[in-house]
Parts: sequence; structure tokens; C-alpha cells
Amino acid sequence: MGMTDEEIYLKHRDELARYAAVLVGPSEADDVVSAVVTRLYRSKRSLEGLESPRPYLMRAVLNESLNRRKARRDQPLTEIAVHPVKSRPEVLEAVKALPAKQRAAVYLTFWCGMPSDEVGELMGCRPATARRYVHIAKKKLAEVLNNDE
Amino acid sequence: MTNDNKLIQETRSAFDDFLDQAPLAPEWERASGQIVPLTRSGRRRGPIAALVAMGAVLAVGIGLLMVVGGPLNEQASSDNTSENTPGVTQTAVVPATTVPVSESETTVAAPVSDTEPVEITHLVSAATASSTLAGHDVLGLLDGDLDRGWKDAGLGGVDAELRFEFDVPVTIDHVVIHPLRDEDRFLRNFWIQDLEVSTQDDGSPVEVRLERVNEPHAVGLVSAATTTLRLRVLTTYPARPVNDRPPFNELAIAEIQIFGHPVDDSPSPEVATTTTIVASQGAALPTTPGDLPFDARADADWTWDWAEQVASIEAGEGDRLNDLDGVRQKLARVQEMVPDIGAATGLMYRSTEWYEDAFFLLGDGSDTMVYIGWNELESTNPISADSWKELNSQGIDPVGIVLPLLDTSMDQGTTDDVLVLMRMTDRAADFVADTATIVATVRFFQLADSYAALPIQQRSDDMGRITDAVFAALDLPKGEPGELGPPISTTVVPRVDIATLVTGSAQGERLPTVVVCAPDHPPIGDRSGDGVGYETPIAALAGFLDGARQGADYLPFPRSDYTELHLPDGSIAFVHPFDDDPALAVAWIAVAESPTGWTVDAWKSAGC
Repeated sequence: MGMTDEEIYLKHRDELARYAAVLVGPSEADDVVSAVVTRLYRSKRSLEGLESPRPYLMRAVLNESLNRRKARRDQPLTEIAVHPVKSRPEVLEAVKALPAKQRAAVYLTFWCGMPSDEVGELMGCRPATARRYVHIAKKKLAEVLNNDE
Repeated sequence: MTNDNKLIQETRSAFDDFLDQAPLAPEWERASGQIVPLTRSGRRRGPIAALVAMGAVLAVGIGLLMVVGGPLNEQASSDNTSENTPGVTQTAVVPATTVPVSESETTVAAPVSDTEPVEITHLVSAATASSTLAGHDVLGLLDGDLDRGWKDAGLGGVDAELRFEFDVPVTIDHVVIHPLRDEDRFLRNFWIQDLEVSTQDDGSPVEVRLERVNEPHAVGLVSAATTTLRLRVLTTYPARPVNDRPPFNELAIAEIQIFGHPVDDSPSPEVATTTTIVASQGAALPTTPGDLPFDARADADWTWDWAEQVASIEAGEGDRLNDLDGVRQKLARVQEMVPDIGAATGLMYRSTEWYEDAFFLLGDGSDTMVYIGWNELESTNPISADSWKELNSQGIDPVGIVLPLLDTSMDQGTTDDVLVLMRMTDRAADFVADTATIVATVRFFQLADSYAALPIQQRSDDMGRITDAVFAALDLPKGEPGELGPPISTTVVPRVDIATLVTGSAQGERLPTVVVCAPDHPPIGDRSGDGVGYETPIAALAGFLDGARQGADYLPFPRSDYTELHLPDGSIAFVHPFDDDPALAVAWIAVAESPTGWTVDAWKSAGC
């Protein structure tokens, strides 16, 4: 017997929240996840019927995040400065400055350690596209590192 | 630690900082058997009422896809199609079922909240059909008149595509598709069986199966903000005769209603406010004078809609992308072939492979197409750099750029595709619509007003960075044109020769001498041809050249301006002369009559 919608959500919710935090910032992440789930249920679409609900949910989070970013294009990514950060500020700023899709690809690749085919699946693009995002992002990040040295 | 590892580690640390403050995922709770999302504070969100109400619906039967065959009385249907009658959701907000659901039942199940979907059909600014039967325009789908609908152009509806553009971003909750009301007419036309519905929000397309029921069908969506709705018919129920009256060849739909919400918190300044409905047919793009409405889908100020023309004029192997005159000649030839595109900005063709970051700029007029290559600009080549500067000095807003799509090596091979990025002006749309025979894989993009000036003007000294910036802004991977998703229209047209293959005839004593194009590159030839018989000598020549073009192991031959040379022994050779010297040739191809017809029996070419 397959999992219920609730079970599916509970299984993936932490991953979704982390992903959303990376994409829109921590303060808005739960809003993104809630919006995705709310819209899902408003449409009466069930996760149970999906062969792969995880990619669906991850893409939905990405899309919702992109829309929110678009709506607030003049605003920076939510600040992360409540407590001392571990990373170098310039690196953090560079990561925040990445376009959302590039940031998503870098996060899934570097932090989650996913191979590009999985990244592509979760982002709804080809693996080569995911690699392209990472490649472009790495060039930008490398500039920051190089300038700092 | 290598630089790469250091970069990865530092980036991961940055993500750690993101995630240290990541919230807990919203909790869910079961309330009266329903699943509802909560905010962190536990306060239910606005749509909760809808969710609770919808729970009863969900309990009835949730499928992956929602297809409804709910009967509507005729009066209700008519009312629902009124442009100014929003929120008549009882026609659509019902669970997936094949059992007709009464209006009262669906009303009970419908959500009641301030987020209840309203009809947004009237926000459609443009509608396009992949084909249209004369007299059954696509606008009939949106006019609120169930007796006036749309029919495809006789292909039984398979692969028919309807596209609706909104002049403001909307979220789409569901779509209601009305078949013809008259039962006989309904049966005598094709009807949708499997349908793909998608928006531009990057979500997976929804595929639904409709029943062959002469009642409104609703399709639910999970839509983020979008300005586009696409319906693509995958399969159809066949038309059939009724009472000895023959079936029709077309798919028929009476009306389409779209329900959802305008996205009022993200009005893009680039979004046009036109409400003009433009109906198009065939490969035409929906358009308004000037630029189409704009929606920035990604972070950057870019977006695209595109149509595709695939054709196959021969670029001429060996052509170089930095051969500006050659490019202009190609353009001129195409313009000659299709006069209507004379002012249509530009195009490209199957190109010779070039450096990865080479690209074209297409000027704002018919004669200002400019190529700028990596090397040319950096080395201040007078042609391209001056042209580029000239464009800027004239204040010309380039209408497009052309980018080779394939990563390249330094070998002078060939690349299959180039990407043409163009502002989608009415001219460009006309170009798509009117161009029956064009050159390569050409994609037209609707770009933002801010367009490419951003990366190009700021970094005109670094072509590599420019191209990277362009790709990054487009989220477009090199070498992967398919990544853009399905085109709104695709036309594949056959190759058309636009030059005269044989321009004259002459008598000769012998075959001319084929010139040597380079000391280490002697002419080559063969005493055999393709072995195929044709009705005429010219047909044999054309067939031989076609074979060469399609990958036969021959070096390139000219595609035009052959002289039919009659030799004393009665044989014929087609000669492409060199410098009008009858004793010299770039290539000759000899044909002879055989039992199977005229066939090429020998050839010789300079090969370059």
C-alpha cells in the first residue's frame, strides 16, 4: 500500500524547508512550503498518485521561490545575520547573489552531494543543464575567492 | 586544498549559514479528518477554509489528475461563460470521477473563502491555435457563446495545441472545456481523449483523460504565477456518423473557461496592459504591435517564448561565421526567396563551427546584421568592432543575437544549431508566420525591454563573459536547445534550393582541369557515382548532390551555377567553372545514360 499524502509530506518536509531556505532565505522558507502544499490541495491533486512525489515537491518549491523572487526583484535575499555566521561574509554574499536556479544547483550539488542527474531531476532540467548552472556559479564564486586571496 | 575543494567547502559553509536558520517545516495536523498546513505559529492560513471544505471532495476520490464529466444544464453553462461572471466554480470544483455530479452536490463541495477561484478568461490577451478550420476561429473559444467554438484544421485534433496568453500574471486553478452542445454534432466531430495542460511555471504538465461525454469537463492545475496556458491534445475520440450523416474531420470545442486569480502582488513593470485579443493560426505567434507582454520568469530580466522554424538551406560547408559578406549574401538569398521577411531582422543558418563564444548581433534594420566574434572584437577587427560601435553610436537597440549552441573544439567541423535570440516584435512574428522556407533551426524569443544591453554594454571588452552572462541570464545551457521546452509552434519545412543549379549549356572538347585550391590539397575524384538512375541528366546531378549533402562521403560541391557541357562522345558533364575560364573548373560531375536511367559515373572536385 502506498504512502498517504501526509506521510509523503512528512517524509520530505525537512528537505523542502531546507531547500526553500536556500532559495528564498530562512524567514520565508516555511511560507514557500506552505504555499506549495496549499496550492496542491486547492487543486485537489494528490501526491499519492505521483510516481515520484519528491521531484514534484522540490520543483514546486523551486517554482514558488522563483515567483516570489520575481515579485520582489528589487529586494535582496532575506538577510541572514541574526547570529555570527560560519562562512566568510563575502562568500555568503556571493552565494546569495547567485540566481536562484544556480544557487539551487550549487546547493544540491555541493551541500547535498547529489549527482547531476539527480539534481536535474529535482530541478526539472537535464543533468547537463544542472551542470551548467553549477559551472556558471562556480566561476562567479571563484572570482570572489580569487579576489580575496 | 585545491582551489576547487576550497570553493566547495566555502560554499557549503555558506549554505550551513542558510540552513542554521532554516525554519521547521510547517506542521500539519488532522482536523476533522482533513489535512491542513499550519504556519509556524500554528495559525491557519487563508486558504484553510477552502482546504477544509475541499477535504470532503478529496475524500471522495483524489486522482493524480482531475477530470470531470459533470453535467450542467444548458442555462447554467451559458451563464458560466459570461465574461463578467466570475467564481461560478460549481462547474468545476468537483472531484475526479466519471460519475456525473449534480450541481447541488458540487456546490456543497466547493470551497468558500476569499481565495475562491474566479473566472479569469477575460484576462486572456491572446489566443493561438496550431491550426484552425476556416470559420471556426480560436476566438470562438473565449466569446462566451457555446454555439460558436473552434475547430482544428482537419487532422482529427491529435497534436492540436491551444495557447492562451494573459496580460497579467495569473494563477490557474482549473480550466473548463465545453464540448459542442448538440449531441449529434458532438459525436460527428472528434473529441479530446488525452490532453496535456501546462503553464510556464516549470511544473510538470498535467495529463488528463476526458470522457466522451457531451458535458463540460474541468481540469485542475497546480499553477504558480503564469502568463501562459497551453492545452495540447494528445489523443482523440474519433468522429463517427450519426443517422447516416457523415463524420467531420475536425476536433471541435465550444468554449473554454479559465478559473484562478490574477497575481496582484507581483505586477511586473514590463507587463503590457493590452487587452487586445489576437487570433493566430498555424505557426503564427500571438503578438501585438511592438513587443509582447513580458514576464520575467527567472531572476534576470529575461524571458522567452519561442517558435521554431526548421529548414535546411545549405550553409555551404566551409563557410565561416566571420564571413560577414557571406552571411549577408545568405540573408539576401533568403529574402529573395521570401520577400516578406525583407525587414525581418535576421536569421542564421547551419553554420560552420566556430569558437564557442562567437555570436551575431542582428541590427534593427534589414541591413545591419553584424557578426561579432570573440577574436574579432578582442583584436579590434575593423569589420566587427566598428560595426558594433556603429550600432551603439546610432542608438540601435539590437533585436537579437545569434549564438552557436554547441560547445566547439578548434576543429572546423560543423555545428547543427545556432540560437537566434530576438525581441519578439510584430515583424519577428510575421517572420515566423510567413516564412515557409527558411534556413536553419531558428528560434525566436520574446525578450524584455531591457534586453541584452545589460551584459553587453557593460562588458563589451570581454566576449566570453558576455556570452556567459547571456546564457546565465537566460538560464540557457549551451548545446541543449530542447531545454527550452516545447515550442508553441514548430514547422519543419523541406529544403528548398534557391539558386539555379544549371545556368547554361555548352559544347566542349574535353573535361576541364579542376583547380588546386592549396598545395597540400589536390583535387579528388572518383570514377563512380552514386549508382542511382534518374530520368534526366540534371536530376542525376541534383540527386548526386543531395546525397553529398546528406552525408555521403564526398567533399562539398557547389550547389549552383553548373554549365551542362556536351562532350564529343555524347556524354554530359556538369561543370562549375573557375573564373569563367572554360578550361578550368572547381568541380565537374559527369553523367551517362545507363539501363536504370541517367547516373553519375565520375566526378572531380577541388574539394575546398
